[in-house]
Amino acid sequence: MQRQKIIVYVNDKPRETFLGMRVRNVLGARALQRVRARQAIVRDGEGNVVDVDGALYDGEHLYIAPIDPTTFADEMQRSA
Amino acid sequence: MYRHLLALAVLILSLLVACVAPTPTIAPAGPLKVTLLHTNDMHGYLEGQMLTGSDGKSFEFGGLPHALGTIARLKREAAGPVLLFDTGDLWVGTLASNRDQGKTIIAAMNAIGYDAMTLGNHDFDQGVAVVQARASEARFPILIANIVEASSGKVPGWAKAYIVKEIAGIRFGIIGVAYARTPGISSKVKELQAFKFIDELETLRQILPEVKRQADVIIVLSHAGFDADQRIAEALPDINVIVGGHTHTELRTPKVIGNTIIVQAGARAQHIGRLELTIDRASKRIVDYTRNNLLVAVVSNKAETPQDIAAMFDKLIAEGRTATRRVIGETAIDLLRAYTPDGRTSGEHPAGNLVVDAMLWANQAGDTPADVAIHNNAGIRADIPRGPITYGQLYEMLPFDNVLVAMDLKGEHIKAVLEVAASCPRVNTLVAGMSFTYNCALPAGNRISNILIRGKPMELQKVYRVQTIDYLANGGDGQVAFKEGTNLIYGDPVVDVVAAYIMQNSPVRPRVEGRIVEAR
Repeated sequence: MQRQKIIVYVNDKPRETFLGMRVRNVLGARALQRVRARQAIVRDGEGNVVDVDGALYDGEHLYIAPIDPTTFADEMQRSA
Repeated sequence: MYRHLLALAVLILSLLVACVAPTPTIAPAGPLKVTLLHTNDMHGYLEGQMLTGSDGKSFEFGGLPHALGTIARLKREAAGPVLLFDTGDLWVGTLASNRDQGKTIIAAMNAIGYDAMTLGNHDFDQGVAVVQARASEARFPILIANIVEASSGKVPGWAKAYIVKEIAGIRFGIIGVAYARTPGISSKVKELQAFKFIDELETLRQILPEVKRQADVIIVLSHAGFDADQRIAEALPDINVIVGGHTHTELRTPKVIGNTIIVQAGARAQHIGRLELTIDRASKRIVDYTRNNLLVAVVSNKAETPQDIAAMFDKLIAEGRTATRRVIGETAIDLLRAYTPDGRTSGEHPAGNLVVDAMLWANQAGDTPADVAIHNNAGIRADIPRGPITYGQLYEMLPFDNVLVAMDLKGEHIKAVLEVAASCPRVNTLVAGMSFTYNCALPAGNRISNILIRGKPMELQKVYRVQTIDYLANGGDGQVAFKEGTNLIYGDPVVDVVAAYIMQNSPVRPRVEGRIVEAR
């Protein structure tokens, strides 16, 4: 079974990876830690937030942006 | 007198007119408002994440009990009828939920009143028999139009391709499509050969006319991913709504392509998707829909979780915590790591050998067993002292949620991996099924020699079956040579594989035996 390779763009830098990999696999350890701590967030090319365990797809653009954990908590309360 | 007679005549005439005139019809009701509530990729997250707001108050964000409690609240608040869907990857993902194999979650979904769901790729991780058992317990249909039995060409008996549900005279055709590439990324490759997973778009193209004849509004439950959902919407404008999953995308505003509305609600039971459709009763067409704030955050202080459901999950969470403390086996020696002079884990050591031995033992490389297993040293994060081992200790040792990945790799690429690992003084690799010598006195890229696989010299052009982890397969730690791999097969989480190995081989006694040797 031949595995399909895909290219995703992290902060506009191309990263070759395999189909079946997750967002976490292309973030790097430090960025992943910051996302888990709600100090950073990952958005797709259209500005939608994506979870670190989301499946990657060919041509996907991902952007890592800093956030404030308290502000994030307040936003979640407002949108509840 | 005449006046009285005239008045009487007018009265009688009026009464007669009133009697023969048609009864005034009830004024036509306004358009029908139907609320679609949806979840996806909840992955068995029974507990959420603790957050603290600017008011100093803490609350739990996400978690299945709170998600279902939020659904209960949203159903109560809805202006009209509600349709409730899930689009798969439901129960696999956490220790407590994995152990329960989705039984409690399905029971809770029954209680809260789900209308239908489709399946995600991870729903097959515990085997088809588990899926079938959960389907038999669900009081709502499992919709998988694009999975058919290889033998009959039909959707398996425990599922359906679609349903038609009538609400206030409007017929909703609801079709489910699973992730068509599931066999290519699932650890259950052999088992899934009993089924054909057909392309989502092709399946929908074929089935849509049949459903369209029976329904006014077409809803697709899809685990194909946000990218595929957009392609489906472009190709098949008769679909009114696609409720998505797989990419864990939080669509706060709907993605609209032509007449098709695409929604998706993130993951981990952190949001409930809420899309209100306004449907004209005469034309039976959608005339309006929610255009923003589609996602309702799941927070513990606003969920209205019914007591019986909360009790079911409390029990499961408690069992999960007990399981974390449960002894799974024991080690006859201290499972310690080795270090460089500057304190970084390096080279061969008992803790690491246990992990790579388990990876090779697990035999999750497909039809061809793996020749070697390779894990990085940096991924082993704790020691375990001699004596009993709990799952919790194992998770501290392997906290990164990595999964097994098997691949074909040429000898020259294996050598390249080892050369990168020999960053000197650190040797950031652990191996099983092979051995090698490194020489830090030599320049980078030429430090590795005497590579033996299964006791024989490794051939640079020969293809070997390598069992590693997703982190390295993706080029983590600078290991770009892994990207030359082909024929990948994904396996179970490493921590589960090592736990299973310990259970089968207790007491374990991995020893340093000269797999990674420094040249003298």
